[in-house]
Amino acid sequence: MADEALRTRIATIAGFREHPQAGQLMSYGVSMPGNYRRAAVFIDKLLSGANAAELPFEFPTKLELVVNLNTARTVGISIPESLLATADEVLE
Amino acid sequence: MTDERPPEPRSAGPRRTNGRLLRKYLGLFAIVASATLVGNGAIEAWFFYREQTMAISRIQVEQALAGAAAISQFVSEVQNELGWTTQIPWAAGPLDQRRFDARRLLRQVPAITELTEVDATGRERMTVSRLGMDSMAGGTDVSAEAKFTEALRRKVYYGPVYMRRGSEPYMTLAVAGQRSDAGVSIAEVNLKFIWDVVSRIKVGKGGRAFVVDGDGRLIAHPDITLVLKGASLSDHPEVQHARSELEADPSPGAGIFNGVETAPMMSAYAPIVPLGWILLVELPLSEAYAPVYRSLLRSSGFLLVALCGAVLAGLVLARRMVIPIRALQVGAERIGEGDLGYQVDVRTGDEVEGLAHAFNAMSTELRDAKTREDRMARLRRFLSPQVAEVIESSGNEALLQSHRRDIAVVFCDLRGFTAFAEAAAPEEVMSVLGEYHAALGALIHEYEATLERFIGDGVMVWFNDPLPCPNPCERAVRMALAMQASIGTQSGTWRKAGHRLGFGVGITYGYATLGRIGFEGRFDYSAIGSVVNLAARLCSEARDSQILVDSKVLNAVQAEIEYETLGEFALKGIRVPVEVYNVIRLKGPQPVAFAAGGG
Repeated sequence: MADEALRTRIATIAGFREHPQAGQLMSYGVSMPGNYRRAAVFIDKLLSGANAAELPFEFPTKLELVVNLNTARTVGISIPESLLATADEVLE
Repeated sequence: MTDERPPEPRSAGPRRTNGRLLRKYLGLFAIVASATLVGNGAIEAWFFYREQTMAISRIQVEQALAGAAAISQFVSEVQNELGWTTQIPWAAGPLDQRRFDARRLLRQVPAITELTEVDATGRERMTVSRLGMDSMAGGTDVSAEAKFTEALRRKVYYGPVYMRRGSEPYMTLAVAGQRSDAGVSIAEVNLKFIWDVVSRIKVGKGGRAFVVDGDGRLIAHPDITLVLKGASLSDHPEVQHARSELEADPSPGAGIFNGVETAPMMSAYAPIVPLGWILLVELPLSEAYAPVYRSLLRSSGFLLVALCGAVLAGLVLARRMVIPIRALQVGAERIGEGDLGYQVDVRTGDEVEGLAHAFNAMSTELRDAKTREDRMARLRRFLSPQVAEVIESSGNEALLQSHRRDIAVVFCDLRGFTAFAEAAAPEEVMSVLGEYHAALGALIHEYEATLERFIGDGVMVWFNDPLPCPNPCERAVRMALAMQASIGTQSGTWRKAGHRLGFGVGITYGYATLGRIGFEGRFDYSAIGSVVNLAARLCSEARDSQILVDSKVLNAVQAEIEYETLGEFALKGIRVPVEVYNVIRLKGPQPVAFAAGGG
């Protein structure tokens, strides 16, 4: 998908940081490893006999903004400084 | 059945005594040992318990304070970061610059989920959010809301904790700028970050730290699901206690309460200024006092070991005491049963051994005394008490062995006794014999003669054996005369009763074989020889009031007595005729008894 986007020079925004790492333009969303880590806690509770109905749902606290500047250059988009300032990770 | 009965009480007695002594020793040792150890263990455990309580309380208070400080710092950091956004008045600077700053703030402070900037008039100008689109249009008027008015008034406003989407604790934090036209920045702060702080507080294995707000609602807990459920602990005893205590005095404290899981907990609290929250640190009592329990267990182990030791020592001591005592008891029983001289073997090297030695000495003494007594009884049968005493004290019974010696034999009997015995009543015969023997017996003892035996009215005694005496013949004659006098007095009484009884004596001197004859249990000391036969014959030849002696006797006493020669007698069983003399009286002054009884 990233290769196709790069080839066709289409700017893409994804939900997971793995996408800009693979070459897409940027992502904003939850951290999958972080989610899996929390999921492990839930599994532990369920295995310990907790009632699934009583477990409160949790919303990921951290939302990551990852920008791939290489892709931006390739696609020909300039990223505003304000956006770069809030990015959790900038790939170059 | 009857055979088994007798030993029972005997064996039961000592066993019962044995048990009693044993129990006493065991009891004493056990009491001494356990009293010491229990006392010591209890005192130690008590102090240990106090120290442990104090130490854990101190640690918990420290942890609570540190946690509270960390949370205060977290909040004040958010507050400080927020302060940056309120430094520039709304009039100056482009909106984009403010938005950029707001974005950077969100980047810098992950706990802030949403930031709204309000101008001095109370109108929202910009909202930057992680979850929604940024809004630059603004428009909502918040000038009447507490987050605006309170922030303006106090420069900072801590809103109540609320649950966003019903599950996540949030707090509104509003900061007003220093300048009146700088407006107010209102941040929605996600309190899940406090969870990190609380999770880091490690209290033992089962302990934990948690935070409640001023209303008792759970804000942070290691088990975040409790927080997300929005649990309220306002009616929980430890929370109530902390709240009431902090109202009176805003300094940390500690206590023991039922925890959230209703197990008793050691609990400490610290206020989180300026939020009005409380950080509580709790540790299960079972864990807090585990070292105390371990110490108690150790003490109990010690107690058990010491008790075993005490019981063993008691057993050993009691055995050491009981065994010799039982030996002594057995010894006493054996002696009581007649086993004199029984020796007790006790080697304990203490007072009991001394007692056993004394016991053995006593038993030996008893046996010796008994032996002496037996021998004396035996000797007294045929010896005068004086002679018996001499032989006894010499301890030499060899004197009684078979041997030959010159002795003076005295035979005497009553004339006419046979006829009297046939005619008189048996009681009368016995009475006369009794008086007769009593009279002779006294004299036999007096003259220290050796008595062989009584045969009815006949009596045989001799002199010069087993102990030699000077002038045996003279003694024999003197005794015979004394007997004659005594019987003479007696016969007066008899004559009045109508009994005609005379008294005849025969005395000889010569070699005889002497020694013990008889069988085990019935030994007699006896003399055998012609001298004895001759004396018997002379006695039977003697008429009333005659004392017949042979020539040997006469030779020995001739100078002392008046006598008459009766000529030669041919005696039955004696081959050669024997010259016989009759002793009449002693020469010189006459004893009164003799004069009275003469004739």
